[in-house]
Amino acid sequence: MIDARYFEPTTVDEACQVLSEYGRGAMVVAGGQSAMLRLRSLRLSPQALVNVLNVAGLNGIEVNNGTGLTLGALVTLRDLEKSPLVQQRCPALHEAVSTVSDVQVRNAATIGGHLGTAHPASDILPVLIALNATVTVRSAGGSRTIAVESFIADAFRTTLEPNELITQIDIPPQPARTGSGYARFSIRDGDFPIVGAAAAVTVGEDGVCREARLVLTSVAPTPIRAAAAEQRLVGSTLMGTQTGSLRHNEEVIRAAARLASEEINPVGEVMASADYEKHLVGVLARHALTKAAQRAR
Amino acid sequence: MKYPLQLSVNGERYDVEVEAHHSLVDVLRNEIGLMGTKVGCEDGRCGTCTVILDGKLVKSCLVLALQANGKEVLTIEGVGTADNLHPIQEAFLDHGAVQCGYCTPAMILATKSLLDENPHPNEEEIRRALKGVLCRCGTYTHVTRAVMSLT
Repeated sequence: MIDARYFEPTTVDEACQVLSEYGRGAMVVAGGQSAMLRLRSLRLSPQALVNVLNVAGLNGIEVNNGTGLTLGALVTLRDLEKSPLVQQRCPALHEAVSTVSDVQVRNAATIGGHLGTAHPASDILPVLIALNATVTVRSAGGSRTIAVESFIADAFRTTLEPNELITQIDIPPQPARTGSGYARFSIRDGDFPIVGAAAAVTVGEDGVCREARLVLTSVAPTPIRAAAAEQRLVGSTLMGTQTGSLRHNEEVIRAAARLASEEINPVGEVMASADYEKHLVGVLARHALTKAAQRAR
Repeated sequence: MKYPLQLSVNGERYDVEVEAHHSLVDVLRNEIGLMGTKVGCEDGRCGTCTVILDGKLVKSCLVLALQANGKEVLTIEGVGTADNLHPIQEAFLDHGAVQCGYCTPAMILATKSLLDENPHPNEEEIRRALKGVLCRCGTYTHVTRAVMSLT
């Protein structure tokens, strides 16, 4: 039996006031693609349903600090998919968003809601983590900014307090010669991935890898880094000139991908055994790293 | 506690009262009485509840009714009638794309939404655009041919 009051704040402050008042009794509804399902499947009885779609100032996709991107929490996945800014400046994010679900879901689902849901098989979270993205949350008491990697605490759980509202996601400017890529596999297009891999590599002018981040999704309760793979890449020559054209170093990428496959231990799921998921980690890490290396210019 | 909801459905204005947690499909079917929009899975997956809300294709079981306040909804009833079939409906009938018919309203709205944005999609784009509507009878091939005939 749900007997909730309805709120439709038009400013972040108004929204935070309601959240302060109701705490855990409040349920924020943005795009509804997770909230409406949870409401029914978990038989929740919130005291307040807070429709945040009319909160002003959270719909922008903007450049920050020259080459970074700031996404308002209410930006829909469809907005991200169609944004020329995202396509140009963040191809890995464009790749990831384009694989999510179907057009109806992407039309409604918001990036803020997606962060808040913390789905263990998210395509988008590993890309954000690979790019060192942060999330800003506001409350009546102020605001704080956290690395997305730290914000996602467990499957379907974040460090968001009941009185806090997600307001924006910032992808910082990446160092020069950084490339990123995303690769995933599912049985049907639009299904959650069985495994997904997001990679970001920074290469020096000499072609040597300076930084590497490889994040796997759907193999653990949260997106996880393949640390051994990352370490294998740093200091290796990732890009080299062969016959005059810039070519990525396949051998190093394969070695790193193999390490990723060895260090990640999925438990398996209905669609795939643990062994198969381990195999996929290797394949998709290689694909993501190859894309990232090719874009690191 | 009930709240007033005012929305336009297929060009006609409706004033109803809903509870905070009611979904848009609840309102369309139970308050307004338009049964063309279906409830299939109640889980956001089947897409038979699909409508066009302020120009965007969405699953109405996942929209809070009150979020549609002041907005325009297009349901299958607004696309065409038996006496005045929309070209999309004609194409579906011509290509045998209707079996039990349960997914058909959603397929047609998804098609309309696609063609409104992209009048000449290729087969891959069609299949991707209709991905959010499931058909238990397996009419996908016929639906795809029907849509291709309109491009």
